[in-house]
Amino acid sequence: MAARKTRQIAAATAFLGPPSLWIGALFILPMATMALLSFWRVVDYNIVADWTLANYERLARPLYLGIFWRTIKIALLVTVICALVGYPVAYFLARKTKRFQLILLVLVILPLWTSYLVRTYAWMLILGTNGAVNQALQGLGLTDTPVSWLLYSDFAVTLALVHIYVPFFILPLYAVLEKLDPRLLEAAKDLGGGRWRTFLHVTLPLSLPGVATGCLFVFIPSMGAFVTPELLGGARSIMIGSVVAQQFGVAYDYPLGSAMSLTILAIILVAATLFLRAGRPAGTAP
Amino acid sequence: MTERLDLNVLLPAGMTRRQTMKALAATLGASALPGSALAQADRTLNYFTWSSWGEKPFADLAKAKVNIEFRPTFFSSSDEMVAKLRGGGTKLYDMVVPAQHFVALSVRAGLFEPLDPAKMTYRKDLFTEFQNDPNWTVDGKLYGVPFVWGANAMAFNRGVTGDLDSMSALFDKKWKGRIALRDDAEDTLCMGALMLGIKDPTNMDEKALQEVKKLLISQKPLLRAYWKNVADLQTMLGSGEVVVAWSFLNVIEPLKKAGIDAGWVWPKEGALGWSEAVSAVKGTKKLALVEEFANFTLSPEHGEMMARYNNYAPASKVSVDRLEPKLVADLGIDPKTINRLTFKGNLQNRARWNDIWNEVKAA
Repeated sequence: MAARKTRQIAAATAFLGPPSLWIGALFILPMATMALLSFWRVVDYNIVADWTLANYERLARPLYLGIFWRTIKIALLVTVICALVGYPVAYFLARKTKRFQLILLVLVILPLWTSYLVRTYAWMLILGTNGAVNQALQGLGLTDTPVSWLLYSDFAVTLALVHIYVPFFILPLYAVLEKLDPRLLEAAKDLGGGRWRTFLHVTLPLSLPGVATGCLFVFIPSMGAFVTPELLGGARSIMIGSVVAQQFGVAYDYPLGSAMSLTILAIILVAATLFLRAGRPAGTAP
Repeated sequence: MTERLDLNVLLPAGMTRRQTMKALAATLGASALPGSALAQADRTLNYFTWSSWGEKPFADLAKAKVNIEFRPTFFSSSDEMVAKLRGGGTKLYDMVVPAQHFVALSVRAGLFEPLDPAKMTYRKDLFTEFQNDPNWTVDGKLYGVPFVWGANAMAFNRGVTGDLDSMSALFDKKWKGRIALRDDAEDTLCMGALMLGIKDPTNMDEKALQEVKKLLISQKPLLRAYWKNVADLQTMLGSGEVVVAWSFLNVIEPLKKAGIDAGWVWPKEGALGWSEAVSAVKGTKKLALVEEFANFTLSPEHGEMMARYNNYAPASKVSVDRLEPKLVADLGIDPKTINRLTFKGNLQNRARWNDIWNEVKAA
């Protein structure tokens, strides 16, 4: 018995050791460092371990609360649009096509092979004053002067974020829809459910876990986005990610940056709980 | 137990495992560190600098004249320079190009190594105001000798705007949606201060800061975007998104080469002056080589190449004497004009300026 127990412990260590080490060194340790830093302060480019709540007080001012709120709104908008655009795509991929399934899946994944930065810059060419969209609009005689709000605006930031993150919505949802038990759909049909009723009462509720996961995968990176708003955003498009980057890369205010990062993390945890609770399939225990 | 024995067979007699590990670590460490025994012959320097000073003609001249190769990494603001050096960059770079008002604070933050004045043999060639510029000496020690000076001022697309001479163009409804300002707390708040006629912008009190904030917020409806990287501004001016901007001088030449009639002016309200020099990064193992490079940037050839290539003003009188008088006049690089510039000082409360700047951006 004792030998068996030792073997079990050895096996557990072998399997759990490396991942625990990984998570400990690369996740928990940095997080703990940030948590500490967020209660310290900077004096003349030196971080001083004075315990203070000043960083959080600074965050609670209308300025930063406003930027947090703006960021949450944009991230939510991006998430909703991704859901509206991504759901039909995932549904079609999983349930409506067999012949083109593989090629369509590759098309969904393909943009991920190009750098995030390249895709962001590409939008400049498309949306600019002399960009493709404005050329087309003017060519079609729909407008005389170039439409200026296409680029350097919240519109541009939202559009680019949707484009960048929509695959992260489609893929988990596709995985759920693909595994949907066809017998349930047949049963619904047998019971006289039309297409819409079957969708609303069977497919949609069963796919909610996929929707929730997809929403999270879009919401989390959108909350932290900073390259896209910086390159495509206009005079007002400041998002909290840029302010965090500013604290670490420009202002050397690690404590304030840490306090901001932890606040973003808290917002994301709340959002994750809400999304996952909403996405729990009907009838399952909490 | 057998495994352990096997391992011991491989070790030199009398060496414990701990000693072996130490030796291994030392070997790995030595090969990873720049500037160990190999440094004698190694004439490369890791160079943390503005993009202007890392371009090919600069690298070519350094190689040809002093046989030094540099590996450049770029920053786009002085704040970024200090933040990155302070955040671990001192281990990565041998030399850096600060602006004059960041020298004392960098020295106090322990980021720079003093230079030997005797090695700066070209210093005597400089215009007198740069030979002994007090900004570059801290506690009696020399941290750099400026090789270049200039201004942050106004760039415009002359083809669209015609000639401009006033900063009011940045606040003119005529160019609504075609104006860009720099995304930099210090530079842009100082620019606003010049517009309001505030004399010593970097020493603004809270009241003055609030006035500048109000001015810049009122300007926002006219603004296309804030630029962070000068390459992005170049794209905006090049694509016609923007026709007038608060800018660096180095956007102009590439735009002209692309066929755009780009103009550059120190507005009558003033412009923000700076001087820059090569400083040694704290702890560099190649201090002598950095000094050699710093001295090379003061040489007649370096200044001449710089003026001809990207139109920056050499601090060296001998360099300017090599240029045709018309070019000197066209480029406005005669130091007699220098008193038209407002040189920035060190900010007393940088965090406050950053907050105010974020308030402008978020408004």
